[in-house]
Amino acid sequence: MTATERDTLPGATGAPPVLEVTDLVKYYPIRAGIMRKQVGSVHAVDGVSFALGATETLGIVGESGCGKTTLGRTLLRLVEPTSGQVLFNGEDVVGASSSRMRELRQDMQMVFQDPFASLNPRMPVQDIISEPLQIHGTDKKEARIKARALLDAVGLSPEHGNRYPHEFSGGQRQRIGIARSLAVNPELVVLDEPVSALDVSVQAQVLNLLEDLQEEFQLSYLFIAHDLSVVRHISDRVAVMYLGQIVELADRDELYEAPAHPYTHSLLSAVPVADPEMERSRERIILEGDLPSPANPPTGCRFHTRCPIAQDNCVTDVPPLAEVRPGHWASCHYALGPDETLVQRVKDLGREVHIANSDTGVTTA
Amino acid sequence: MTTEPLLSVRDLTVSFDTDDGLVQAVNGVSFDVHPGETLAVVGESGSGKSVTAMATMRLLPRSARISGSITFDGRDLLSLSDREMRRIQGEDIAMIFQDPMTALNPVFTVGNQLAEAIRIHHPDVSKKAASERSIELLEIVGIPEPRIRVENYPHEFSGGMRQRAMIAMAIANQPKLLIADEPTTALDVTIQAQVIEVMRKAQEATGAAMILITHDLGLVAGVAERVQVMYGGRLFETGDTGTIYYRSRNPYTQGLMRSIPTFAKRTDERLSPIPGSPPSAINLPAGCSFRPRCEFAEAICRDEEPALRPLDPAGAHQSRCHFAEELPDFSQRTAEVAG
Ligand SMILES: Nc1ncnc2c1ncn2[C@@H]1O[C@H](COP(=O)(O)OP(=O)(O)OP(=O)(O)O)[C@@H](O)[C@H]1O
Ligand SMILES: Nc1ncnc2c1ncn2[C@@H]1O[C@H](COP(=O)(O)OP(=O)(O)OP(=O)(O)O)[C@@H](O)[C@H]1O
Ligand code: SF4
Ligand SMILES: [Mg+2]
Ligand SMILES: [Mg+2]
Repeated sequence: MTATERDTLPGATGAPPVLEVTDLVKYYPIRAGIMRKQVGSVHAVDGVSFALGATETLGIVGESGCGKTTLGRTLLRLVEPTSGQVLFNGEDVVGASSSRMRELRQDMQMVFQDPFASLNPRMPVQDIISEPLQIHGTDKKEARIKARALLDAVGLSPEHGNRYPHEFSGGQRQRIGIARSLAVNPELVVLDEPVSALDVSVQAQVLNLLEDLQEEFQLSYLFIAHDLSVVRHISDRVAVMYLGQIVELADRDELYEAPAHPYTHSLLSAVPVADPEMERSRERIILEGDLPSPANPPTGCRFHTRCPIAQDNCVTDVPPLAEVRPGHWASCHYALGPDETLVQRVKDLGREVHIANSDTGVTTA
Repeated sequence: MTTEPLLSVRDLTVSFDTDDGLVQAVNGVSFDVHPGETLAVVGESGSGKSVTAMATMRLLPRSARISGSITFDGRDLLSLSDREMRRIQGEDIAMIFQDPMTALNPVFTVGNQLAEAIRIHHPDVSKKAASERSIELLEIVGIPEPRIRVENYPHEFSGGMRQRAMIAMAIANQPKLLIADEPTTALDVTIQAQVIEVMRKAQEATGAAMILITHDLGLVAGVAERVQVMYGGRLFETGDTGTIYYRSRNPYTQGLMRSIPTFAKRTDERLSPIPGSPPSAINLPAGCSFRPRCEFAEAICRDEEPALRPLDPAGAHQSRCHFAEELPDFSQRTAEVAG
């Protein structure tokens, strides 16, 4: 890849990136019937490109099932990509041998979304945390000392070290997963919903901790979460995914304050606020139609089936992920301007939009 | 409230024997749930929310020591035989678990499990009808192409789809009480709004009550009538949703509210969590269990455990703090939205 091509990856800043992803694709076979014959494929990740800079945090948000976890897992080759390129510090990850991959995994760690399924139920927690250290050559005693320090760092007491995963609450398990991933001093950590099971106070502690660790150890984070408040807090930049693709990527505040993609607009309008009066009077834009199946994504713009401002060519022409403003990428033929609201655009088109609010129900504007 | 409570929990205490000693998970918890209402349970991770729910469903492991009483629809659940209890589980009380994989069996398709959930309580329903109903349920919870997806195994679903499959299973038999333990943790906001709508509709149609256990204080703000705050195995505050958010009289609740990252605000500042760590469930501190972390603590907090006290004549608002009345006013108003 040439330097100019590199700089055109969404999210590239000119600084040498830790991670460069080009056209990454992951399809899962769909099988049905008694013979489990393949009848199609789920386009879980479908042509994703982005760059992640050193010590940067890129937030990934998007609807359930849009491919966030699959993206994280394919980057680390925990599932094999169907096609595409992943460079880690310039080194080809997709083509790496399995022994090289084991070495690379020391620098690329993942915190899993489902903390229970990812922790060995027959191992006491201090061994779960120290295992990756021992695999990479630290002696047992030293590894245990480090495990205790990590337990402390994520807000659990060292006495917890002797207990087994099933003896912990959901939020405690999530912190065990974080401690485990940090044990080997990685460079890049993919965090898949790392704070979703935590109460807001522990969540604030863990987020502060992640920020401290990032500074201390020069970590880069890919932070997957559906909580848009958390993502706004921790990320430098944010990518929005829809049906296996990135539809928008921009600096954090730019994305939240001046989104360009109509999907991002509707997503932001749906964020609940922790204030009963505001929450009950808040107006949400309701998208028409169901979430299309990732096995059979719509033609043209994948969002056209639900988009309130779609035009005829949206059904046929694929909008590229293009830089609509400096450092701000969006894939929409009719991207919204910095001061434009989706509701206003819909009205200008002479169309209707459904707005929901829990006090007055659904209204049409 | 004038109606008879549907669920009445009195002095529930649960502890576990572990190698390190006795874990005090739930400590003298009492509360009522009325038909049709939504009660939210929030609080510290590890404070006993799930264990309280599991005790109500009688799903705790044998290592659990349980005392107190749990009355549902006039029956004492803790004294029912296993068989009688199984009839109530999934039919009268259904639970949506925090961890979908614990509720879904990896070796059966989602459709098989849904049909089984229906037929176990309604053996007269034909296999075909149960399978049609499964597809309908998947559609209700917003799974695209339910007719194809019904044949998937749980690992072929995304995290959020598994959670929706579990919700479908819970509402399959129209229970009187739905206990939802973090039902939307894995869901993004648009699907979350849909799923909550599904649960509310199911609730309206059947007059079911719901206990909603969650860390999502935005979700609670939108759907709960009452809120109950737990800390270290105890109830720390309980009241109407508005009271808890705008007029909390408890230092822990106030600290919790202050930790929320606000969405509308430009945030480079650090979050302000409650300082210190949650208490160990093995060695609870003497006096008030929040004392080591509390900015208002005084000598009495170490010597005497505060009681959960009513702050109004009806007892709608209760707080466990020696200084409940003297605390500075606190209101979780999202100020930046106004400005
Ligand atoms: N089977 C068990 N054996 C021993 N201790 C247990 C067991 N189950 C739960 N505990 C402990 O009981 C306490 C309460 O756990 P519980 O799961 O109810 O917390 P929670 O409030 O639901 O937390 P979270 O919000 O993190 O899910 C915790 O300290 C936990 O470690
Ligand atoms: N092992 C698998 N086999 C088949 N399909 C899969 C597999 N894993 C995921 N999928 C499908 O790929 C799509 C993307 O799933 P993924 O788990 O990446 O979504 P996600 O964005 O992480 O969602 P969530 O927010 O719900 O966790 C979904 O349609 C899912 O059903
Ligand atoms: S009793 Fe004391 S320590 Fe406990 S919450 Fe009140 S002020 Fe804090
Ligand atoms: Mg996921
Ligand atoms: Mg729990």
